[in-house]
Amino acid sequence: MTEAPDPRPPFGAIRRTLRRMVAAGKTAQFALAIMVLLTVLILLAPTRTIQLQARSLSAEVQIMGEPLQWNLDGAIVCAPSLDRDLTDPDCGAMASQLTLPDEDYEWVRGQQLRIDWTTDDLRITSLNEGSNWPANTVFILSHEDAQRNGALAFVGHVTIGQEIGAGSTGYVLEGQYTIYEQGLLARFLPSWSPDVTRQGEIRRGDAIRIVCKRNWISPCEDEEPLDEPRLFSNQVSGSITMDSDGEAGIHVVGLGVESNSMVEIAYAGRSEALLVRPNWIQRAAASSGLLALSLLFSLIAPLLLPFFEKRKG
Amino acid sequence: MTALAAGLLSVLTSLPAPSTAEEARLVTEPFNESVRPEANTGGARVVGLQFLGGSAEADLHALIPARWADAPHFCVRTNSSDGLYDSVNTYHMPQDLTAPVEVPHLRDSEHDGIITSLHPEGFGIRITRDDCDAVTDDTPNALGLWRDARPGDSFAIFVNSFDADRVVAYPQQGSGVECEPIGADISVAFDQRCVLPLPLDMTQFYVELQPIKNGRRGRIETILIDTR
Repeated sequence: MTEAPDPRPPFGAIRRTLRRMVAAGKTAQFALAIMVLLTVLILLAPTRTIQLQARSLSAEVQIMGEPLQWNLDGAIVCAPSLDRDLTDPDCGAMASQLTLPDEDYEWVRGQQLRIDWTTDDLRITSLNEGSNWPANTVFILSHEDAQRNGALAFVGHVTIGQEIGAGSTGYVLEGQYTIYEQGLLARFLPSWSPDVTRQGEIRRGDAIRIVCKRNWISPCEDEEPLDEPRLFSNQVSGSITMDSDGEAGIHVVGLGVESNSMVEIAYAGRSEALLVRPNWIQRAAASSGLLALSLLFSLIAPLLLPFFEKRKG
Repeated sequence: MTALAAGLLSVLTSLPAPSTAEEARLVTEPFNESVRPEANTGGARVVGLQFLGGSAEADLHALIPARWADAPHFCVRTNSSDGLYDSVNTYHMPQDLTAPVEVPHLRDSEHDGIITSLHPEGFGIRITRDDCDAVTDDTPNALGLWRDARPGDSFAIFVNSFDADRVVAYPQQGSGVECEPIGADISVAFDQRCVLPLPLDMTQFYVELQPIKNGRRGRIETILIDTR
């Protein structure tokens, strides 16, 4: 006759361990508490820095640092016109050339610009009114001039690529995002560099930007909330450069200001944008601090064993 | 005097849509609508022809001209700018076309919560003469009233620019108008609004929509609009 299986859940081992910990000496309890506290301090990362890098056919920038000048030597400036029959040889349909005083391509705070790469040229469209030009004015640069003029650097908000839809031409070709984090403990240790806690691919047709959510340590820089409650566009230091190898598209790099930020990935068809940030498991897997702590613990654990023995008498 | 006029105007615009309107009846039950988890990213160029309204939850009204009385049916298509909601329904032509026709869209819809939460510029209404299946490029359109909108001196055309740099609307009379981005956050099904003055001396007129991309003219779309 076989013995009937024990119907009770297999909590015996856990209960025994807990009982031993409670009964352990003060030294062992103190050591355990220190370990738990250090683990929490290593894994708590209320802020992070996000870096985006992509080759894209378009990017949208809102300038937040002023004044900012870009070297647009050789640009043809085209102002929009409502004259249906007008065709300018350089500006194309329904636009006329605008002559601006020298060195007057100065963007002001809040200026929204869309940068489009086409096979013929690089086009910078002023989506709102500028200091000397109306909305929808286009600055057209040949690829050679754009290359010669150098990087277009900015401080502001950036959206890389457009959601791909019928007729889209401004989509991302490829790219990556990288999330750097530093746990609370690492902030107090000199020369402790941040860990890469998550990285991923940006795929064709994604529209990417960095957003910020307020928390107790990170107020978010900007005042303009986005559509989702408590989400703000995260400020970025970025640059736009032409590809030196003659590949299609512009290279956009943006490094977000440290905050409680996330990568927002929108793709046409999705009802809600995807928000990417590391969870505590990914943080634990990438944490060099936690690795060091677990090594330390494995070394001192045998020394603590006698303190866990049941006290007698 | 100006302040008085503005005050009167604000009182008038805050009034609900006329309650004496005759209600349109569906030709085919049940109400045909769909909410999908993934957006419809294709679709038509002109998605809405309507007066811009406020934030009240008044149901849809159609400003159907008297000359449509000889048609047995009319069609109402609606789209949300995020491309997730749309409806296509054919209604019987009401007898009384002297007042705006009430289209019980919110009442018949199972997704009225979704519709009322949309931005006023995130819900396009296109009303056309005849059955929805019989609509062609030449079918005349009527204007819609949504939320607490009342017929004003200008109306909006919601347009899918299909990623054009600009869209310019040219009415039959008067100068062209540059279309602007809609106020709604997500603009997949349509992304531009062209606000045009309502001509006072014409009951039928056309509007031409000219997209421009990279300095090149796109295909012109012409829409015919009947007003009351």
